Order: sequence, then structure tokens, then C-alpha cells
Amino acid sequence: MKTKILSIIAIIAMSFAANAQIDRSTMPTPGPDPVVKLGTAEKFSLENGLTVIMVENHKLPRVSATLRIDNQPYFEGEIAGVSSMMGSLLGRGTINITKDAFNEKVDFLGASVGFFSTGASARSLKKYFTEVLGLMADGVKNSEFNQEEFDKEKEVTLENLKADEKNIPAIASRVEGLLVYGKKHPFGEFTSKKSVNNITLEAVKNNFNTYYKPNNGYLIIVGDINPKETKKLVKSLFADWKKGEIPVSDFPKPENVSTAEINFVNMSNANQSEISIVNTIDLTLGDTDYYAALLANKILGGGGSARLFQNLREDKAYTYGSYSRVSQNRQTGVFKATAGVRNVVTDSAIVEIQKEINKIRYQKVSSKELQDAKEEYIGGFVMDVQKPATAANYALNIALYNLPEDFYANYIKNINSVTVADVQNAAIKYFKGDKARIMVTGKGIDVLKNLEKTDYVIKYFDVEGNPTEKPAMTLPIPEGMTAETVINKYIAAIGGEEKVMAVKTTITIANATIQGTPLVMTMKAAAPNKSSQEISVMGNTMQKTVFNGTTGYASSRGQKKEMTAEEIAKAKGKSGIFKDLAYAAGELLRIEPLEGKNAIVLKYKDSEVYYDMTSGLKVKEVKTSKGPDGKEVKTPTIYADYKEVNGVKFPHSIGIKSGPMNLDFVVKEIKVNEGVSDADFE
Amino acid sequence: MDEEIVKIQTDLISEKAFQKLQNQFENNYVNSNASVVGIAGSLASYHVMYGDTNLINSEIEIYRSVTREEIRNVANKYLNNNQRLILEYLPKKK
Repeated sequence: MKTKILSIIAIIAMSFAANAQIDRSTMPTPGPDPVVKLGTAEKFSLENGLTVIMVENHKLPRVSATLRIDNQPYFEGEIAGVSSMMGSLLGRGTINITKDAFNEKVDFLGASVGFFSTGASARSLKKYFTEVLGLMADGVKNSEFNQEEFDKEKEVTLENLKADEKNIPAIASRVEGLLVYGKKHPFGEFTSKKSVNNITLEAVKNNFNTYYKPNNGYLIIVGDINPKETKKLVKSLFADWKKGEIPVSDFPKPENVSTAEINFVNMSNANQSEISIVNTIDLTLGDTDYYAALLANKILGGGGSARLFQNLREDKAYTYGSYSRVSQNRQTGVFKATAGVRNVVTDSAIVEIQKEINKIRYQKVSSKELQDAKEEYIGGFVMDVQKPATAANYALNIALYNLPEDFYANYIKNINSVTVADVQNAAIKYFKGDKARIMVTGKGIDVLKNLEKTDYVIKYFDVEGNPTEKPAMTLPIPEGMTAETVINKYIAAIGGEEKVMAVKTTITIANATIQGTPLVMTMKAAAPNKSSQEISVMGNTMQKTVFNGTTGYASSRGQKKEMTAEEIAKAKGKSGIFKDLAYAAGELLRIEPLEGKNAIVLKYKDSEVYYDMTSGLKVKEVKTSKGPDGKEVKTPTIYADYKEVNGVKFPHSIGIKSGPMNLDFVVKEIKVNEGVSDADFE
Repeated sequence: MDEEIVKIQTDLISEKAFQKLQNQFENNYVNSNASVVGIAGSLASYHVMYGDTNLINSEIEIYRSVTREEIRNVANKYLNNNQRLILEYLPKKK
């Protein structure tokens, strides 16, 4: 007893000592990479073509089975969606058991059994596996399809399609598939309302009887099994599964565009643009540069620490997330870099994604980046290995891709041997920014103006991927809206008629700089139409225009010019303080997007005036005049930063663009009804 | 709902339903300890809540020892009329 207590004390003391040594401020260094031990697979084939792979794993008393029918992809055409419908209807009753009795049995055993168009799966405790695999086999061989279930499933499919009619990511993804793989390719076609309506119960049965066959089937059983007994069980359950004649169809190989182009799908309800820069690749599991391609992708856009995410989200705040993906496939693989971004930054986001793609192509990644990517991959791999589904997948992949038996055992070693040069080579080979489609699904009216400024050709497609025209760039004018209602809303927005009418005089002092030189603008106005504007640099008046209600002048650096009769007439027509009141008599032109919002545009004499559709405030005014050479010159003035003075809102930021010059005035002071006399307008 | 509660308080559940429960609990128990993370999670909750990490080996025995009578008893003990809060969500008045 005494020694026992002593030893306990010793252990406690030791653990204290150990605790004291741990420095929590530095990250613990990872241990050596584990050696992955995947169970050895035992394989045998049945006469009907079914290959059975068994992996023993006695860690837990459970077993899982996965059936995979590895037929070549085929084109469904007019009845696109038939195989997925067949998959959904599988297991809803067989010639031996009703759907409800089947489900009740599975539920009773605490198991799960599932069917899909290219296979099936079952999972249960070891003690019920015989029964559960039997249920799965019954569904595989003897599924029945009846009209009632078929009609139900058809309705559900149509309902889902309808729900996705306005779903931007869903539309983006189907048009992308169609354009990237082509209309006649199994990966390019998609299920539509029309194709679903073409599908009959007969077509579903036909699909089952043609393609759901053991010829190219693999059955993988992983878990607490006795291989000998399991082999016997599988034989008894699957040997009578009849072989069939499975047609093999040809389809064109997809090709990438020769120059990058924008493929635009207009969705008027889009709040953000779905961008996907995508190209097809020839990459198959087991290729020598497979690991390099995985790592290059990991560094570019494989997660939150990757370059795309860091740039587009963390640095620029364009998006919640930007990622890239490289997918291998025995037919045609694909690389894509994606982001869902705010409308206004759609063009900038494309530029940034392309920049990152080019960067990883033309510059080697740092060895630190590569090391981190490797660690992350290996970590994920090790965590995956413990799942039985992974063991099954690995065994299946080795069979499907004719990989060496030690493919996954060497996985970590092969990842670790990739160099920065390998990564760059893979990036150059597979990430084709300059020969990629830039898929953009978004709100044309908000994003096209900027997309047109990029160097890419833009092609337009409808939601089903058919070529179409460029969408209209204006919004419909709502019923009842007139120039007058727009002005009334503006007056209400800045403080209401009563307060606005109470403003008799104003003085506005604003500052700006031009090429480093500070300017001061002083504007005075008095009702009904007196005004003066003076721009001075360091106390010296540079420019001044004055109108006293009947006559006025403009002076520039001491040169004084009296107003012409025409100019006087114009000046008389304008209110000195709120010239917008007169615009109510103008013409309501259109509604168009402006800086991510919608603006109502009025035309009054030689100006177009923009009012924010939501707030009602004036945001811009563009004056058209004839320049010295007779050409039309547009001078835009931007109003922003509205603040209240004496109960009325005035813009405190006024930007004037005059030729190549930008003058951004910041209003320093506004005085209402004080400090202005008639003398100011002489 | 009340009827179902009264049923479970007065009648024993069927042998079949009882066996089904046992199967489902055992299945969950096995699957929840299938990964390292799952095992760590189980050990942590056994330690913090029951002070006995060995439950990871023996908890299933507790489930197996539960009888149909015990299920009826707890239904009577906990599913009482006076321990209920009935929350009704009503549409906003127009």
C-alpha cells in the first residue's frame, strides 16, 4: 500500500514538472508523419462481372457496403434527368417487400440503406449486416417502379426546378457546365422542366433495366468481417444479379476557348455576381503531376489561408470567400477559380482572380507556402483515413484507376516529394487563365458597364445557356413616377417644403486642392435667383461669377465679362438656392444604376440630373455645353455627404470634373439666412 | 400529443419498438466512437459530467439494462402536466 501511494505521489510530481516545462506561447511542433496502414483488400469477381473488394477492420463492431456501378457517362438528351429520377425511385418497394415494410426493417435495425443511380450503400452493426446487405441486394436486383411513386417524384423534381428558377448559383453552375463541356456532353446537359416532362415511367424502367447492371459494378465491404463468410454471403445475394448489354456512347471532347472571354448570364434579381474562371484539363488520379496540381490548387485557392481568399476577402472585402478547385476525371477534368462578389466590384474581382492565377503560373511559390500546403493536405488525409468510407473509396479508386496497391500507403511520401518547380509546372499546365471562360452570372445593369471596360470579349447567354443579346441597361420607370414626384421626393428628403422655403440666403465655403494648391470656393445665394460664386487661391480671387437678378458678370484673373442676354435669361430661370425646384418641369428620362444604387435621371435644359431612387437625394448633375472647338463637353458634378443645417440637408462633398481636372470640394461651412446682403451680388 | 404521452405512461412500449430503440442506441454509440475526435469528445463528456472515463467501455451496458417498465416509470416521473410550458405562435394581428 505504502509503495502504491508513493508511486502516485511520484506520478503527480512528475506531471507537475512536465506541466511547468510546457511553454504555451509557442506552437507545439508537430510529430513525424504517421505511417498510414490501410487494411489489405481482398478481391474476387462474380460471373456477372461484379468485382467485390473486402477490407477487414475489427476496430468497431460495424460493417459498411458500397456498390458503385462504373458505367461510362452517357448522354440522356431529350429525357435528361432520367437516371437521377431512377436513382431516387430505387428501393421504394421491390417484388418481395413494400416500401414501408422495407423502411421499417432498416429503421428497426438502426441501420441505413441508400440507393442512387450509379450504386447503393448500406451500413449497420456487425450483428445485423447479413440482414442489411440482404435488403440492399433486394433493392438492387428487384426494385419495382410504380406510377404513384413516379408521379410523386416527378412533381418533386419539377418543384425543385421551379425553386431554382431564380437561384443564381444554380443557374450559374448549369450554364457553366453546358458551355464548358458542350451541349452534347453528358457533363454539359442539365435537367429542365421540358426534359422532366418528357420522362415517362417506362423510360425510368428502361434506364434501370439497361444501366443498373453488375457488368461494371464494384461492391466494397469494409469493417468487422470474416472474409470467408462475407464472400459466401455476397455470392448468395449477388450471383443471380443478371448481367446486361450496356451501350457505350461517343461524345465530343470539350475544348477550351483560345482566348479568355466573358460569358455573361443576366439575372435581374442578383445581389451579387457569381464568377467562375474555368477551363477543362486532362488530369487523372495517378498522373505523375497529380500531387503537384493538388498542392498548386491548395496554395492558390484551397481554403481560408490560400491566396484567393486572402486577397479577395481579407484584403479587398469583395466576397465572403473565393476558392479554386482542381478536379480530376477519367473523361475530362476541370479547374476553376470562383467567387461570389458584390455587384460593383465584379470587374475588379475578375482582375484580382486572374492576377492570382497568373502569379502562381509565372512565379514560384515560396517554400514556406508549399510546406504549409503539404502539412494541411497530409493532416486532412490522416483524418480521413480513419473513416470506413475513405477506406472503401481508396480500395475502389485503386481498382478503377488501375493504381498500384501501395498508392495510398505512399500518398504522404509522394506529397512530400513535390518541389516548388513541380508546383509551377502544374500551375502552367492546368490553370489556364488566358484560355479560360470567365463565367459571370449577375445583374447586367449593375455590372456590365464596368465589365465592358475590361479587355475581354463579352458573350451573352440566357439561363438555359443559349446565346442571346446584351440585356437592356435601364430599368423600367414605375407607374405614376414623373419629374414632379421625383422633385417632391427630393424636397421631402432634404427637409420638407416648409423648411426649404424658409431658406432665404445661404453662404457655402468649401475647400479643395488642385495640384497641391489649396482652393477656397465661396458661394452665396439669395432668393429668388441671386447668386455669386468666387474661387480664390491664398486670398487672391481667381474666378468670380455674379448675378443680381437682372444682370451679372464673370471675371477671371481681373478680366471682367458682362453676361449676354441669353445667359441672363438662363440665370433668371434658376432659383439661386434650390435650383431643383425648377426641374419639376423637366423630363423624366430613365432609371439607371449608379455606383451600386439606382438613380432616376431627369433632363432639364442642358443638364441631366440624377436622384437616388431610394433616398431621393440628388447625387449627380451633368451639364452639357459646347466647348471652344464646337464639340460637346460634359461636366459632371457629384453630390454626397448630406448633412443638416437649420433643418435642411446640404451636400458637404461636391466633386466637379472639368476636363482632365478633378476638383473635390469639402464643405467647411454653410450659413443659412445670415451674413448675405444685396451688396454681395453687385 | 397528450394522448401519446398518456399512452407511454400507462402502457408498456411493444417488444418490437423496444428492440428497435436498443438497436438505434447501440448503432449511435458505436458510430460516435468511430473517429479520434469522437472518442476524445466522449471521454471529455464522461469525465466532466460523470467523472468516469471508463463509461466509454461500459455505457452501452447501462442502455442494455434499461427495461420497458423503467421507460414507463420515467415517462410518469418527468412528463407531468404541471411541468409544461405551452408556447403558441400566433400570426401578427392585421
